[in-house]
Amino acid sequence: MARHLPDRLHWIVLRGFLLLLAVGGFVGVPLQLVRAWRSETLAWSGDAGVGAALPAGLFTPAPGAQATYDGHLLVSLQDPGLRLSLLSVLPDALLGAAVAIVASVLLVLVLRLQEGRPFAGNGVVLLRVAAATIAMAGVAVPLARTWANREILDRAGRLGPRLGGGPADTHYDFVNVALGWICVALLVLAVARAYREGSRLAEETEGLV
Amino acid sequence: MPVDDPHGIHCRLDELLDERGLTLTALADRIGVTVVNLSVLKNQRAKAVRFSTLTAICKALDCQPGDLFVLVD
Repeated sequence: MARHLPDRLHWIVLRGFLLLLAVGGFVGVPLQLVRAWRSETLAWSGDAGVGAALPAGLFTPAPGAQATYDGHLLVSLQDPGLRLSLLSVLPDALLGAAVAIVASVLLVLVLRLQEGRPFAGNGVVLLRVAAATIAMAGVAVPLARTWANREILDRAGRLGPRLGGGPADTHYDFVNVALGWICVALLVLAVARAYREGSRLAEETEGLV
Repeated sequence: MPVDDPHGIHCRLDELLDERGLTLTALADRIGVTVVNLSVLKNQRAKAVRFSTLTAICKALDCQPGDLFVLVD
């Protein structure tokens, strides 16, 4: 009994963690959207792509906007409007939804694994859904973040001549960001393929004595 | 040639056990196969049998594979 306790503890911790991610995502996304909708101030911080101090003339705040620099560019906007508020939380909302979906899929698979029937039901479909979610989130989240950053910075003030590439957060780096997640999605698809073979073998050996 | 499913094999494990006055549990203990698996075989729910299982059953019941299985229409 004592020997099985660590095993049971592993399952409990794993299930608890996945449940937390799933519930956190599904509850957190609407909360984020509501908070953005009701917020009167928008705070934004990002990598300005410059050195320890903000060079003079790099960023000129617009009326209603304040900007400070402590290695990162910190922008605060009064009355940003509903569209900009929602846009500012869109990347995190997309990420939260994707995490919730993937965590839910993993939770279902872990529960089946614990019950000793890992290939039961629609596991292949669930893994394909997880792969598609990861790929879409991998592309959409950085894209939404770039879009939001540009819109917020456009509204907050005027960017001066770029030094050392200018604000790094306003460039969509597909190769370094999205491509990595697409590779993860392909890996999950490969697992789904292996899972399908496992399901077939489990079906074949059903009734074998 | 495609394999038909359901098959036409009937397992005579029940009759062989009766003839020898053995129970399924006793046979399971002797050959080291679970009662659940032997029950699957006895109740005609098996789709395949390992040669190792077949050998163990035939040795324990002192019979041939042909005594254990018959083809029915």
